[in-house]
Amino acid sequence: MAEQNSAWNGHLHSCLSTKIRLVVMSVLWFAGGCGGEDRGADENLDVRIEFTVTAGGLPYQCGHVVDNLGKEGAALAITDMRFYIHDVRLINGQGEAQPVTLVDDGVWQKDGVALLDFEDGCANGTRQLNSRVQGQSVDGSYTGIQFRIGIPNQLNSPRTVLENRGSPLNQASLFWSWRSGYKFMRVDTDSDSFRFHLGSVGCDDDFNCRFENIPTITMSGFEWQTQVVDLDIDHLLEETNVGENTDGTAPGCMGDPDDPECRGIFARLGLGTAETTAFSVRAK
Amino acid sequence: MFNQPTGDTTHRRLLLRSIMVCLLPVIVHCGGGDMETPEEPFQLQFPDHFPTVFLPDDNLPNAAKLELGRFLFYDPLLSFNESYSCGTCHQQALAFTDGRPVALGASNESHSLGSMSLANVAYGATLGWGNPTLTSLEAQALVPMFNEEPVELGLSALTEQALLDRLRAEDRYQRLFPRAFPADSDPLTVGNIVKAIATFERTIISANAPYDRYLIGDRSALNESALRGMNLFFSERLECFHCHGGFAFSDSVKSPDFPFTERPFHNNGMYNVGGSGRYPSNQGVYELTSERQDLGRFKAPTLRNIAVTAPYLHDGSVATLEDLIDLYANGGRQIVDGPNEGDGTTHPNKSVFIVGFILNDDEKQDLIAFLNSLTDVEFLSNPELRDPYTDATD
Repeated sequence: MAEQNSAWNGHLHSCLSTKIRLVVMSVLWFAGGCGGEDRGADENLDVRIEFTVTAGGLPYQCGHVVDNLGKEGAALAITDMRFYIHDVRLINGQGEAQPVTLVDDGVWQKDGVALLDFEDGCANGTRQLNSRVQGQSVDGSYTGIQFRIGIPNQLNSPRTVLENRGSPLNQASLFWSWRSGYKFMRVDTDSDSFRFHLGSVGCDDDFNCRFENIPTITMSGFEWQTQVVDLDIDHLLEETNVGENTDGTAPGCMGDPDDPECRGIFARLGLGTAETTAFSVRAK
Repeated sequence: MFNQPTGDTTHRRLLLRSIMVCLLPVIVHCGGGDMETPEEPFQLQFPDHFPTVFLPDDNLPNAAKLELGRFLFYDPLLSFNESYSCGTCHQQALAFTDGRPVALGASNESHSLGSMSLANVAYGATLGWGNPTLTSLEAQALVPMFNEEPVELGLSALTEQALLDRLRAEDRYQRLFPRAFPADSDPLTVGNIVKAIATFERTIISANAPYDRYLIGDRSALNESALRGMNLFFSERLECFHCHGGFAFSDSVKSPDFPFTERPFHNNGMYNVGGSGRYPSNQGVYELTSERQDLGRFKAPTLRNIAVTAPYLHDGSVATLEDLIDLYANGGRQIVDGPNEGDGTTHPNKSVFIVGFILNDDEKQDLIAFLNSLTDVEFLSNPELRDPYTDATD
């Protein structure tokens, strides 16, 4: 986080953010949305972006108890830690965002979506791990990154399962069947009263959703060659009482923005008005 | 000849299109089978007095698919611990319900909702008790298979590969998947599992109750009491038919014959915990939408075979038809003590059709006689719907 902010003072940072947004919007307009399967003709830069997850100030370990989590300082073992990302872009010194076309690899990446998997099957998940995203972009020098968490809205439906698009879109424990879509992010714990599943809610059968819950993470001061994107679980849960569930709501947060256990987490993911503080840039 | 003027090309396209339209029914009905042993022309049979059933373009039926779907529906390999199948909670003798107040999953986890009858489920505009997003049987089948909150069949505990390997090890599935999905190079997929199950589910048709025979013209099929009950059921005094009307005895129906499809849900005034508008364990459509006007709104279940589907309501909280009629006569349920205390009759979302009524004892017995006339005995033991693993004659 420190590194994210150190390169820019506040004023410069906010100016740049606005500029990036404008550029991103125009890129979206012309490219028609997320990074698809076909790489662009001039995309000859192989990009590999690495992610880490931190809990209790240490690299996340599946099933290990983390002390002092959340607003009331609970001790929980985090037994699942996975999330999808899509629409990955690198941002150059001029604030221009270039799409990174993700390579379908038959396991972790498919149709512009990548799964990042930090749990090793300590509870119900899978043994395999993945902490990197690979793709191609236009050759250049980049100083920022943007990506979206979850599955693009047009793929977030049972159709995707019926079409047998394959891994990682066929990970059954990330189907959110009763909501007819996917869990975008899954953070389970050893407590009955707290787990966090992010996904679209309030959707109709055409998957127009009242709350898409697809956060856009934008960070300046990021060089993919030397730095990693870190998700800090302590920061993610900092505003939330993870030791006790609010009566009459889903255990923990199941994506409902009206659930008190969701509000703080959503804010930390940048789903509210502020930018994310759960994600930050760190040195490799 | 490849440089036809535009007018001619259009004409040829139209001609081609009309030829294709003419061929289409033939293609549709010959969908099944592999190249060596083509299936007989195939069409699902539906009763004449029912509307046309909706068949999705990407899952047209064939004989092998139907057989496959039936075996999958009843196969305990489709639960994580090989203890449960779809048929565990949807038992034919109980009109594809399970007799429990709420369902119990393969891991013994109790659900917040009861197992719904699958009678005529092919016509459901939405599926399940309160999910406006579930509009296809194929998508619905993914819910019991993979749901974790609560665990139903619990298959998300397996990798997809482990599930498919289980089925691949069975000779029957080795044989049936390629025949059911002849166009697929690798037909053993999760998508095809649910397509086959949905195909079987579309044949779970109940259309031969005494009430149906009466409708078709057998005036002796209903006795005097049932006829009086029928008139009560369809009266503006009782208002039952608004939500439970039509051939399905549910207003949540779809068919290519209906140009417009409603996806209705209703609050029937059965709870209002502490006056908050909340229901005890499941909030109905609100669970999906988080909108207060959806608190306690549920799909009106079919009343066909209702005599064998007790206990009643979404949570099985009413044991008998007598008790259920009393609650509707009361305009909802008032709970005066305990954790669910609250006056359901004043629930802000309550359907305008649940206004209460006065029924004398004879009328109540007539109404029950009519409800009993919705039991389709043939359906409850139809050999084509039976569990094929226990069916010695099959």
